Amino acid sequence: MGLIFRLGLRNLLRQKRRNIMLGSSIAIGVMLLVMASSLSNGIIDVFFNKILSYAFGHVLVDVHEKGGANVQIFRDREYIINKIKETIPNDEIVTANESIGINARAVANGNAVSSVLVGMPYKESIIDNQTAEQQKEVMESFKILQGKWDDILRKDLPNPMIIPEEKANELDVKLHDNVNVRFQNIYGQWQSATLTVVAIIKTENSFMNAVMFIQASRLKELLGYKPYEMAPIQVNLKNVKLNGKKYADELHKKLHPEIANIFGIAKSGSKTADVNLLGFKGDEKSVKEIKKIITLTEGDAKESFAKSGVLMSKALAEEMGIKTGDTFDYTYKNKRGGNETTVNLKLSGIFTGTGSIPEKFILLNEEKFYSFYYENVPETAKGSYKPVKTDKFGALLATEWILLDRSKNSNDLMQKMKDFGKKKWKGTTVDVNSVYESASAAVMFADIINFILLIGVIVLFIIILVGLINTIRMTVRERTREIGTIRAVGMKKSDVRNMFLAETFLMTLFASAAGTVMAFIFMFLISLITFSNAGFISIFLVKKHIHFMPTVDGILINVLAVIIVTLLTAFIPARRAAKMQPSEALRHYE
Amino acid sequence: MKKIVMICLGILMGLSAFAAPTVEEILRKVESNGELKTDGTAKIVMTNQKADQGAKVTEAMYYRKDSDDSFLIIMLAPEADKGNGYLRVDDNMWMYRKNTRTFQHINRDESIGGSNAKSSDFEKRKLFELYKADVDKNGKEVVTEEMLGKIPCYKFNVIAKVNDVDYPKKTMYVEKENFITRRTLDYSLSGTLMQTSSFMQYTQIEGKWLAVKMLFVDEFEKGNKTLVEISNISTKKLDEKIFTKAYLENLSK
Repeated sequence: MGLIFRLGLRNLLRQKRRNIMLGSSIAIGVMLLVMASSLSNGIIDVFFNKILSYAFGHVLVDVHEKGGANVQIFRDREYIINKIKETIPNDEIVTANESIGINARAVANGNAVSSVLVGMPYKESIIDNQTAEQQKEVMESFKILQGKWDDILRKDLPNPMIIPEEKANELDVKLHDNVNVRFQNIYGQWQSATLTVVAIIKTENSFMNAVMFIQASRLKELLGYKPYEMAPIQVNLKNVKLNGKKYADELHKKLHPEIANIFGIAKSGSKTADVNLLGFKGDEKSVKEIKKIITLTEGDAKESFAKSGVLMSKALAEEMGIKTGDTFDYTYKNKRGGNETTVNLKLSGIFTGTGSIPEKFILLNEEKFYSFYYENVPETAKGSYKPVKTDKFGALLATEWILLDRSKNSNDLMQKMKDFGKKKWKGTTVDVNSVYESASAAVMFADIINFILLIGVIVLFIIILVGLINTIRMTVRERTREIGTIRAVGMKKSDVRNMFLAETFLMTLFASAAGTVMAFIFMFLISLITFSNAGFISIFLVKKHIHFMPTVDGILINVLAVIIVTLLTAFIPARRAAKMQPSEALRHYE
Repeated sequence: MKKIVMICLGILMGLSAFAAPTVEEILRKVESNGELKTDGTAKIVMTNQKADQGAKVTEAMYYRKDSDDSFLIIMLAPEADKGNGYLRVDDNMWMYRKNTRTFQHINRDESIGGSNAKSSDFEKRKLFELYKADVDKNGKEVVTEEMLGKIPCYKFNVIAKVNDVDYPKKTMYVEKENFITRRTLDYSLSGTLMQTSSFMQYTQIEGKWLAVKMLFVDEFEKGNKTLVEISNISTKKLDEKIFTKAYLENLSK
């Protein structure tokens, strides 16, 4: 084999001009291939680790209360955070934060602009495992022109704000000026606040010019969240491609809710009873099923199972001496603050139950039930009745929240959002998505860019390979007598073939190496160019420069692919040369 | 002695007849005075003035069914919106787009047509269910009497009982004679005056009062205001078929 390679190398050096030209075209092809794959890697990197991670997070726990598209609140923050920590190992997480933002109208100095107010978790992330370099990169993407980052934490100002230069110019504000903003909080109530400019920044990305930043905890308060309440949470992972879907699936499994069960005291006049209070699902199908399990002995059926329906078991109603139309109080302890909540309920119906239904309990339509449940989350229910989700009756009861099925892709997710209003969820919906579902359209877009770039390069290569075939055919023709000679002195057919293949292999190898080096040189030079007014394209740039991301395995795969393709291309003419009869070859004249 | 007690009681009763009503009483009367228990049709013209832009005029026809509070709105102007519409039946609200001939379901808290109005704003909810008196530091309601131009009014402050209202705090001016709202000052949660609503003109229909000319002045962003005028009011019974998607689609052609 060594001899074959030495012969191949010698032959390569014989037709220098032709081989240099062919080698150069292969080198250019490899250069373009390496640059294209590095560029698409760079674009995908920007997408996943900059755009999508900021916009959607790699894993997103999205919450909506009572079907409200804008009411993004979960009443037990610690619960979700603990589940995230249980599911995803800490060393797999880069950051975990609440996603808090609102459209706002800002007014200052007689100027008014629309903006997005975003809560920045500056030094208050739920989890922050960013390396110093990553933190530096984030800070550098928002270049401070005046003021300092730490001033966003100032306690002497009610609402310190960091504003992009463009917005500051529109509002004609300078450092330490005030800006009034109005927006609607999570309940839809109009809220207003005075924000003080503590820093002016220049953003890399034109989309970020619409954003004004205040400390996340302050914005949460303005939006109406209590400290133990949660906005949607975004988790960014170290390896989203490997783990994104996996952790989203696992977290989803861990977030299955239990039946919402309140234990408290019902009171009517002087009579009291310690009793469980539950909600029943109010959709048509569930109500139909419930009517098979409980039988109304008193009260109007339509009213009893309507939105404000309140039902009591017969034994309890008799014990308390109340009948339909009477009102009674129900008091229970809250999970937080040690307070109690008392609701006044009007009895719509009295029932008896079958099967495992307990003798004494109260049942409310879920809409009525949730109207006070979320704002005053009860402590863990004691009491004798612990309904089970899997039994017939348990399946018809309202749960602590509603865990939506995992979406397959963005279309599925968009359809889910469209159906929100139609489904009329009465409880809090919890949805777990990975970036692949939240932004599958964006991911597909990145794949399409990748595909287009590669197709372009493949087309170019096809052209090069046509030249390669032609060159090898010419070489075989020119060396026909030589082939005849070496075959006559005993070289086997396979050796003749391999000699041509070795020559092709060596040319491609050297050309690929040269092409790779050229690619790195050009990528370096192109990345020095600054694109100041790139408009939409700026979202793909890093610090206004094109971001190439070559990888070792990517380059090796590209080079290997080129070598294989050229060898395959050279195989047919090489085999034809090997099959030549020595006697015929020796008689050949050009 | 008995006579003195009787006279004192009589004076007290007489005085109480002249005492200001409570906030809840006023709100209930306002609600009752404006509660039209018939079907209704009206033309609505909204002139929206923004500080740095000209006036934009929006016209629409409004149909309402009293029995279930369904309604249908069809846009008449501007030309870009003509033929678009909104339909609400029970808990469902849809937006119709003439260009695409499609219906889109609107969530309760979604904004309508990019405006500040939401689907939930059209729900029939009573004032006294949404608001209660804002008491002073002594825990007392304060209802004063003031002149609004030439109109004697009760003036009082209310705060929201529920979370899902636009303005959690209001100052209301209610005409003494007819218990109709003449002005409200709408405040944000933090107490900033956001909007002044003036109900300049009313008309009486079947014994009820309906505001036909209203001015909403944006107090946050000076220079913005919206004038709403209602005309062509009819209380004729409406056909059920009006409150259907098919009718809306046909109407917009």
